[in-house]
Amino acid sequence: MSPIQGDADFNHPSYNEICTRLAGRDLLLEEIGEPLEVLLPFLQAGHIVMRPGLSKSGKGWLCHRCLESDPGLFAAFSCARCGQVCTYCRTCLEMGRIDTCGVLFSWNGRAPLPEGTASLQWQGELSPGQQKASNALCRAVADGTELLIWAVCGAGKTEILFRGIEDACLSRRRILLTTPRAEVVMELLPRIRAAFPGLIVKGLYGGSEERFGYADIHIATTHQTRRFRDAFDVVIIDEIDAFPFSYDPSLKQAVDKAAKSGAARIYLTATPSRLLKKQARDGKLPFIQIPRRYHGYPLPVPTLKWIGNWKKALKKDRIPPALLAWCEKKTSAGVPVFVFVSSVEQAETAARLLAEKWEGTIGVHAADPRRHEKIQLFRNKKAPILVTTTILERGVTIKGAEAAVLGAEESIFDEKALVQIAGRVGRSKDQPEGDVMYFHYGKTSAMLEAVRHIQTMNKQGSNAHGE
Amino acid sequence: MGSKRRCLYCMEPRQEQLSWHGLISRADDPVCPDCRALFTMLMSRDCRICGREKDEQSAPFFQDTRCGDCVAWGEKDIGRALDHNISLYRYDKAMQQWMARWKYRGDPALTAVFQKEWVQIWRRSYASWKVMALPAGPGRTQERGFNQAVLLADMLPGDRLNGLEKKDEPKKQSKSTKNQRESLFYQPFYMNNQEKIRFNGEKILLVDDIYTTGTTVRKAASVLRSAGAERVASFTLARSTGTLSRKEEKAQ
Ligand SMILES: [Zn+2]
Ligand SMILES: [Zn+2]
Ligand SMILES: [Zn+2]
Ligand SMILES: [Zn+2]
Repeated sequence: MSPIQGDADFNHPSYNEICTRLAGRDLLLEEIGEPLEVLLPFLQAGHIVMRPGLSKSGKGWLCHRCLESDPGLFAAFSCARCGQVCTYCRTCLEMGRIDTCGVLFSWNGRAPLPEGTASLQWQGELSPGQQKASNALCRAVADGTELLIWAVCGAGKTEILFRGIEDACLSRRRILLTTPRAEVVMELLPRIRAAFPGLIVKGLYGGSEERFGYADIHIATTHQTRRFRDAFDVVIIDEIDAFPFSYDPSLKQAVDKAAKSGAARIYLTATPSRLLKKQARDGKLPFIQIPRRYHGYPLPVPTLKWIGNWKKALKKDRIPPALLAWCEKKTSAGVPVFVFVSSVEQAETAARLLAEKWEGTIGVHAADPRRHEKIQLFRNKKAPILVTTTILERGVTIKGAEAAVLGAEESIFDEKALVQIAGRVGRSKDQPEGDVMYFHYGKTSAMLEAVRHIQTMNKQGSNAHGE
Repeated sequence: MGSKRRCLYCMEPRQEQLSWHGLISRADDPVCPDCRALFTMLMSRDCRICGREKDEQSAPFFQDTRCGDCVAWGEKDIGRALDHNISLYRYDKAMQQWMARWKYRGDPALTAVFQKEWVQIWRRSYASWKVMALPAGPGRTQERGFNQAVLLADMLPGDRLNGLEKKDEPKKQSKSTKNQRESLFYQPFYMNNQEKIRFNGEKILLVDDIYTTGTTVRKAASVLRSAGAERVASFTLARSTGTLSRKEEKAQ
């Protein structure tokens, strides 16, 4: 047996390379991209540790990569690698199958050296509400505590983060910014990069290329956080209330795993869940509220409009006249139009029908493989109307866009979704207003609550403005 | 937290109330009605040999009940080595996506999605045949952790037939090796001769995932025929007709 070498006299030409590749991660051998012989001295010296991919837990299994333990999400097969019946985790299959005979490697040596320089290049000015939140964020980062930032849609969340990110990076802390949707990752990436040209910022989402290597800031979908272990000093969770984060407990565990113990945790939301609101009110969770948009204008209040049996109309290849008239008014004024629908089928039908009148109209849905490309077309004003399922209700900002919901009474449009849809409108300083139309076949309490929610925020906002 | 009953494919928890869907869907279906509806079963056997559908593209080449490809195969010895092929599903977008997860991502549990139909067809028409999984190269099987043809064959009751082996493909394929591999003269299959196996008088049902041009199964069939098999048919999950995607091509 070879002696255990101390850190001081452990000198390996690939040390830094392997350190940056592996630190804060759980990787399969295939993902490290080095043969086992190269890793062997690191393993012997204790700089790399191995753990089994899965282990028995109670009656079922525990996946050590994604922390899944629901027995319904494991399956067994007769494994040709080990010749036994192997169990594997189906929750994190996207990242490469992890079997009972598989091994996860993680880093146990010194922390990777920061490579970037944190110097904020953003020249803008924070609104009073943003400033208050930014100060609170800096404190939470410094103290390693929790903070809920409850900011109305269009409050300018990204700018609120800048100061805290700079502070963290100056004190050599690594940051994870996580959000449920790939679209939002792609939208945040260029903005954070532009603000911090000296930092290494990586984006991780299904299909992104930047999977490995060191970054000062990782912007990742919540699913992708499963790749990390004990990696981050600051974790910022965007849209904390959104599916799938509030839906899938294993994602919360994955974020916990990615954070170092004692990491600062910042939660951002425009529509906090009941539980979060209660925790905040009871003083269990420090929070700060920004009821006003950064430009100072109130949120547009939605208009409810009855359109009769629109499903029947769609079946007969007809768009309800009220929606048509509204689209006509908007598109002729050059306004980009969002039409939200509740199903993929409706998105396809409505897009086809609207395209007959407005050439270039696009339909998009969550499972659409071309959705990123389509959103880009809409952003570049190559498409007058974007018909979409609720994937775009959050995060995506299109300048000057106005929004309609076709069939706002559908159960998928709960209060949160409807508020988020209204939040797509009037986001820019030059165009702070715009229509939010809930076209419906019967009012629901969700619609009324959404209107009330917006009115309340607006009222609080105008009070806050006078302070 | 207890385990919910989930759809095997989309993994969504199953709503077990008596919804309209619930009433009309199979109670024992491992996938939800939405996922079930994604796949298209092949109903008509337009080509009696390979099961190809008669569509715009293929119709002009049909001669009676044989598609253009099968007419051409009929003129070659290796072509006649295969009695016929039967495929369950159309290899459309949905099937491609399913295969991508099953085979390339490596989710062997998904095999069970088609178990019922698969076993039904076998029971109806092939219960007296000997089942053999189309072998894969040992390297490929190691890499994946399984051979997908074995997963499919293992759903069928009874014993497997062994003895056929496949060579691994060369790692990096230049154009010429690729052409060579596709040529009818390149034979990747061979009999594991140590056991001196003969298949005299046997009817062999060769199981694989996709039937595309039928070249691979015919190469295997011709080895089996030389080893004495009387008839060889192939039983495949999907019938592909269109051009293959790059990924698919690479993996073949
Ligand atoms: Zn897992
Ligand atoms: Zn194994
Ligand atoms: Zn399903
Ligand atoms: Zn044919």
